[in-house]
Amino acid sequence: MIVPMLSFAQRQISGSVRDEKGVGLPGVNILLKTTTNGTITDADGKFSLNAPNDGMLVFSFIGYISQEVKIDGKTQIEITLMEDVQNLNEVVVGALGMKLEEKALGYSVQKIGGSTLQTVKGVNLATSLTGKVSGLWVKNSTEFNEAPTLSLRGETPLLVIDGVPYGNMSLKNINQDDIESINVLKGPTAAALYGSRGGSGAVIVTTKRSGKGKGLSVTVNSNNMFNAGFLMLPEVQHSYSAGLGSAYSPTDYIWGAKLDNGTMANQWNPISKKMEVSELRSLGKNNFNDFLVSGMISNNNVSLAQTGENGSFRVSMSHIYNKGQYPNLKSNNTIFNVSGEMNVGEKFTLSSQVGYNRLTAPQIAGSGYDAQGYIYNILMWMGPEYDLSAYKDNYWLIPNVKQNWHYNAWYDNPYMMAYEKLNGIEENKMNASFTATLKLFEGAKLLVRPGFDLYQNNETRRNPPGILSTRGWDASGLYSIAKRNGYSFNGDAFMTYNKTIGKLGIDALAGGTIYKVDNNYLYSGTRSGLIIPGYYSLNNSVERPNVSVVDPITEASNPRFRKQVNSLLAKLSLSYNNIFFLDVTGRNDWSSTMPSNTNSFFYPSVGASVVMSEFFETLPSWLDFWKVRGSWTVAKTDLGIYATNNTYNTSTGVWNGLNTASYPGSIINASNVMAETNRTWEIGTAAYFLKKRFKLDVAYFNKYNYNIQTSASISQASGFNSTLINIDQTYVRKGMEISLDAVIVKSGDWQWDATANWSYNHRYFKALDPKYSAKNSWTKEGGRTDTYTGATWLRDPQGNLIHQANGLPQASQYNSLYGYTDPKFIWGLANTVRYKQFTFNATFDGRIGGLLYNYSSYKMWDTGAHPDSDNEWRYDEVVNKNKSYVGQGVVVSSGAVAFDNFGNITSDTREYAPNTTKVSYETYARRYGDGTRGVTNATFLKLRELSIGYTLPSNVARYIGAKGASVSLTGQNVWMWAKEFRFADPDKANDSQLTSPSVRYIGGNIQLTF
Amino acid sequence: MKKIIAKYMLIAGGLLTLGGCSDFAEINTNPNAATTVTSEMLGTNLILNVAANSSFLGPALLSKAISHTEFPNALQYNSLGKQSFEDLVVLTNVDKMINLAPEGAQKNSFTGLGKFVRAWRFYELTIRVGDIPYAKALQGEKGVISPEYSTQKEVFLGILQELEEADKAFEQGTKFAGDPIYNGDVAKWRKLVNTFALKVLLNLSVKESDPDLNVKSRFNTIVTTKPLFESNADNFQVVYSDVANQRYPWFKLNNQGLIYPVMSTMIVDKLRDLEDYRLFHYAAPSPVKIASGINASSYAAYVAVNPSVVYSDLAAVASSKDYSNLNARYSELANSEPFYQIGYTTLQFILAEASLRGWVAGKTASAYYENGIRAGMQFVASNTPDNADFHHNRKITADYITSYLASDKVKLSGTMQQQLEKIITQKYLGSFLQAGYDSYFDNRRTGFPVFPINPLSNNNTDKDKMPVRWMYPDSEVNYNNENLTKAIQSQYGGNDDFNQKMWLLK
Repeated sequence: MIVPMLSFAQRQISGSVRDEKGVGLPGVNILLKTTTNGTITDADGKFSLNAPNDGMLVFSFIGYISQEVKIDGKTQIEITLMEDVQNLNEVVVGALGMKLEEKALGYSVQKIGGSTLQTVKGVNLATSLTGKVSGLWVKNSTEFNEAPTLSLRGETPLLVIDGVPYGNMSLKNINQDDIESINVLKGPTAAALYGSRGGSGAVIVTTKRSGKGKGLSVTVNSNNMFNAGFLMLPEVQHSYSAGLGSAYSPTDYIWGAKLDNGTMANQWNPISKKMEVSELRSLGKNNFNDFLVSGMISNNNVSLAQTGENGSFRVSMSHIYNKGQYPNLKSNNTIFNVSGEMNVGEKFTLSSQVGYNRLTAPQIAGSGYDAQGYIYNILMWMGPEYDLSAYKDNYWLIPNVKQNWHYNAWYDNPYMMAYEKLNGIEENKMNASFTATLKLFEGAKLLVRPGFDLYQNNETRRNPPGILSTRGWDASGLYSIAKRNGYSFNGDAFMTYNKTIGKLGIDALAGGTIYKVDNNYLYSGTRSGLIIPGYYSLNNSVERPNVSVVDPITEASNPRFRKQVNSLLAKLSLSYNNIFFLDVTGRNDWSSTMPSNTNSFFYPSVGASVVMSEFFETLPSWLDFWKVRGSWTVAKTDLGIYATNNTYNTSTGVWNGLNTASYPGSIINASNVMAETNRTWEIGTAAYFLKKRFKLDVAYFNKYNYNIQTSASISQASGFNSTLINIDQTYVRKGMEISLDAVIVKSGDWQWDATANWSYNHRYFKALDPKYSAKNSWTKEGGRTDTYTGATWLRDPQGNLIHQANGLPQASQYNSLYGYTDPKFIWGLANTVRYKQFTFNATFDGRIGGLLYNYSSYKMWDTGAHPDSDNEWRYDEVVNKNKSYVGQGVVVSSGAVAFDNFGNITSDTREYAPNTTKVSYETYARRYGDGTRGVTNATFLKLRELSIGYTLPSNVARYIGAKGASVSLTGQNVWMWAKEFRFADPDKANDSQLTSPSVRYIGGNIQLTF
Repeated sequence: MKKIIAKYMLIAGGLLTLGGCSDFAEINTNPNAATTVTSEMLGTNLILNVAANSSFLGPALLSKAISHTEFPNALQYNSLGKQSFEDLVVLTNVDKMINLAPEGAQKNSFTGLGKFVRAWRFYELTIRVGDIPYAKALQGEKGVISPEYSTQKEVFLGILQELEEADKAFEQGTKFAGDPIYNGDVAKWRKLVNTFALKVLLNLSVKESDPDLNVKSRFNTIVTTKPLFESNADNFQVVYSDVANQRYPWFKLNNQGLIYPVMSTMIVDKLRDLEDYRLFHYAAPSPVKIASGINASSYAAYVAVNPSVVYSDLAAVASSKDYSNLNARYSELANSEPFYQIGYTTLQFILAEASLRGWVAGKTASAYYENGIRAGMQFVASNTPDNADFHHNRKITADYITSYLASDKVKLSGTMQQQLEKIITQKYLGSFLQAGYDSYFDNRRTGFPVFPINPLSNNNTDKDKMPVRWMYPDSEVNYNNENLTKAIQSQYGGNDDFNQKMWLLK
């Protein structure tokens, strides 16, 4: 069919379209670009049409890669369309926001579509990334308002939002519903163009610019989940009271009297508010569970988008309400986002995004050991002989002055803590960026992209006088406010050029970047208490208020810290015949934090990819596509802000108005300190097989870290703790990542898709510095660096525990190596099963191996709360006054031992006999516990997210005026199994501050599109 | 259109470039850190560093003056552990302070101060471990990051030399600013320097016959020719007051530890035996005894625990509440009493012992001894408000002191060993919660006061003995290994152990 057209300088053009084997392709669409004129090929693949001399024809056919051909005065056009191996050409977003073809990459990138993050919506979207990217370890906290931490190949990746690597943005500032896609660039090669900030890889977030299709689109996405029990909950014994030495005493410890056997004691009555003699009973065996409240997460979003001829506009607003597991923990997080793009003529496009985020919470305190949280108070250190619920709404003896409580040291009334010892936050953050792209001439573009963020945070602390848990607080009463504000700027300007010469494709980029950060901090707080109780203001300070640039909690004295990095960068990408791909990048940074003679540093990278399946003529029939890739890169890191400043520490008004100064404890002779360097090579392969139902991607990397800038420890007899140098101690990190995507079932209405991820990485000492490396036995070439070391119990050659003559185990004076903290590997498994209108999602993840300090369990041996301490020996000691415990092991019957500096035995003439000395079980258990010193295997697996969704038929949806509607049952943190870890969720990979109960969230999601 | 856009984009690009032309040196200069300071500021820091009581209860636990019930405290049960070298780092400030001082008399004053602080810190370290880096120490900025060790004898000779120089420098110095202890009075500083020198020399009593040290004659020279403390007003002491960060370390505010101390029989039984009213000023009566009707002014109201009982027994006493805690004045008064590292009373007992050893002529040991007791009692009396909660109606008056000194149990008499025991015992009783680890070192050197040893509670590797030294720290093992290994080899045959005798004890 020919559509003739009247136009000046038009001529008839004819030709044919063939596939790769030379067979004519019928039905190919041919369109004269920028018009609606066109034709399709006939049964033999032939076509003809009228078109202007300077026109451009677009050939497109489903299953094949579209091609554009310039007419350039030709009358005969013969083209070959290449088969489009669906998904093989997956486009990912790489450094600087460039769209890249996955097959061309010499390094590992994994993509997550936004839609997979928008059904189960928690407090922080990072949780939804857990287990979904191989090599990315997301460590989730159970604590209120504590964000998950991301570890990519063992380091913290850079966050890039719409091409801008902001200085102050984090995933919690991003609206989960605004995400178009997340691409994780795993190695420094991928992020080479981000320079030092990209040396640990990058998480590239692309936000939505428009709705689906043209016209107005409104979507509502509401997910509400509620506390449905706990995955991990601490447990304690409730047979014995507070006290020491088998006697009741509400002062400290829980090694007191037997409960529920008629023992009478003088106890505080919280109702009559008097001391009264009453029986010691386990009234409070459920104190902690009763104290917990039912938390929830309500994550709601409304977005409007309009897409028109020349652009689109989108507005999105989210509100996330989170109620924690303890009283008075609640936060409101509002994220407002406006974005749009427009085309001005054919040459110029502009895309922009502005976001505002406000998070407020009246109280975020309540967790931690050092911070004396609720577990510390209620479970670790207070007994089960009192009823905590009697203190609820009854926590004052004298309002605002004295709490109603039965302790007089260390431990506070938890309800008073929840409502009167407040650590409130108000965080405001804005970010804005635009990207302007101008086509200069054929193949060449100019891009300018400035991005800003700024924040203004206030953190307040207030407490009444007379509190007992005082770390971070003041027993004379406190009001303090810390103000933090700052901004970052990242501006890119660069030119790109691409050209195809025959089979050779050229893609080039050159430009520059400026990155600046500037932060300010100011603390002020009352001094020596409050004048008028209950009035929380700086105006109410007894002494003139403290004003300081030093954070009293962290003691960090960085009120104003600034930095700027200027960069020039270039990239050249070559491709040949869609088989060979080569990427070369170079970047030079000038950093303000480096000494002037080393502040300029260059780093290159090279990446290559070969599509082997194109290269070899014959492939096994099950293999659809196979590529191999490799890359090599150097990344460099500058010094910390002000690290080169050799300045005195000063303090004002230290003693009777006298001021003090001290010289730094580190030698800062930094003029020759060079940028720290990382050299990474990476090899990998990707393949599709069995009719593209399976995709396998394997990456192996080796990251060599040298010229490490460090404040190396030195003998303190030198007058200094450390010296700032490039140490010759070097590290190498090696790791492997495997991901497998599979369509397991595809039959009729059924489809089951699964993605499995598996990865590990370990860091080793590669070389030691003869002068500065530590001389212990585990700091050795080829040894791992994630050591878990500590004191041990002495044992005889047969492994029996050696006891002292007093019947207590003998501890070594020297530290030993227990093992390593990093997991052997981490894994994730995501499943999606679809049946007709139903969708079922379940994602699992976990870690295998690695040691972790199980403080939640181990510390209870000391305090007397451990449920396993409720045993026959304890009973015998407390009830029968019979100290009957005999530690299993030996005693030294004769001889002696000598050690060298490292604890190695140099001479040993010891003989042993079985230990028979009876001791107090209380003393033994407090010293030895279960003998582990808390060192515990952290292996666990978790059902992270679960959803069962139903998409309403469109005729039903239309009933309520919607184009589309779906409802889902959703769950997060649904179920877990831990191999050895007790009473605490090891997900965060840190239990050293006790771990709050791990909440199971179950709820529902409604999504409507209008 | 295109041209306009191109123009603006170039301008934008140009602005970015301009923004890049900032002054890196200015950006990377911390506006809140000082590049230069004054000698006074450095001096204040150094003085507070040595004068303030960084560890309040540790010395009292090791010297068995109190017990602590929170957990089986390492020092209480004679586990000394490893001695950190971190306190040497502050000495880097000494040269900076002297260099910043104006030439002349001011520089002399700061030189005196600097040498004194060095001598103090090196003494505190060597007496705990043995050999330490001294001659080659504190030269990190000159590239000496793994300093060689000096022998303990070299260290002591150096300390004595530096104290002599400090005395001379103060003599030629003038009043200086930044001094929270003596308000810059160089005359008082001279007294301190020389008093401290006597303490150093006394701790070398075992080395009396060493010809290089010449302990006896050095001691006598100082006593006869140099100014020394003349009253409690000369004490090297920190005076507390009720303002933030200047309150007595045991003051109740933000102090969770009040529930743990238990008075030791070492103090309570001895004071009771001597009918010494200081008992009523040091200890609080047992609440159980008070509840049973015993008067707080009665010796019977005070219950102490043998500091060597096994921990479970101590813990049981804690829960029973039937024991004496510290006197309420320590926790109730923000200015409870000054804390002295070395006081006039210390000096008097040092002189008493020296006199007993025949190092000084003139006054008798007994005169110094009685002076020491009197000064100590006056110190306690003057720091106890007239409040029955604090003195329990057993006020220490001048008459009481006179009668006390006259009692047979107190009077200095008997054999040399008996007299030495009395002197050290009174020094011990008089320095309750004062004077750092002096009592432990007196016990190590003279055997007095005799500390109870219980093999069942003793955590020392030798169950029948007090440990006699701290081990070297891991930081030296890791970062100065070669030099440390040599030092351990030459002193202790390669075995860094708590029971090895260092040079000054041999």
